[in-house]
Amino acid sequence: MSILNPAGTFFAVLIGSSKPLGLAFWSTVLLVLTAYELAGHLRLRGVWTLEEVVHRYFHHRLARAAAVAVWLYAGWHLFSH
Amino acid sequence: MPGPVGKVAIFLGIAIVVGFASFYVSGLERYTWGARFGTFGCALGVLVIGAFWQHYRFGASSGSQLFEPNKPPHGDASERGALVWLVVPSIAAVWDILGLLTPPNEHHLTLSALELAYRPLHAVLFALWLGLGWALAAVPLNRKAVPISHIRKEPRS
Repeated sequence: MSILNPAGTFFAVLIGSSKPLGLAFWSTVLLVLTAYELAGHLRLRGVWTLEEVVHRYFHHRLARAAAVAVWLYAGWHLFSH
Repeated sequence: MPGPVGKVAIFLGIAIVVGFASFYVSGLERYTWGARFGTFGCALGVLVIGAFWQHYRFGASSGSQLFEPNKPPHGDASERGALVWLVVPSIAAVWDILGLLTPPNEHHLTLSALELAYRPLHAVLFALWLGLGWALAAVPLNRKAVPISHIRKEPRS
């Protein structure tokens, strides 16, 4: 099995499948995005809030519908599936 | 529009409601109808309230400073600032895929595996998921020709 996914095997060897390390990674990701969002609301120059990103890149009906569909799928996958 | 105290009160009220909903719904056992109803009930609530908020905030607007799809939403600011919203989730996606590809005997370090292992992460993630849904529901589509001043009320210095 591991021969079929060498990248995943290498990743497992590299990080040792450490749950605390994984928790640290995902916590960092969420903290970075949250801090960036807050910085955007504080009007720091060059910083975009999520609302502005949606406004800029998801202003067409189809793009917005696709984004909502992905959002719903993520909710199903993470919280009810 | 409410004053500063009113805004703080509204913010705290929303934070309490979202926090309670996140804690309660994320604690429901997965693969049950309770989890499904809880998750998608909250999703429906966010979408409906976001749509109403969008109508309240932008519905009657007809300003001359209209949103232009080919330009950043705020004057002179570089679009590079938006890259953070692409780069960080992309790195996380690569990590997630690599974690998914790890051998079966290893603990997967995907987001879904870890949020199940750590209940607080599960609840925080649910709240952030609702926040993302709010952004998708409350920001108007281009057809409404929203004045930029409604999206970013103060010019960047």
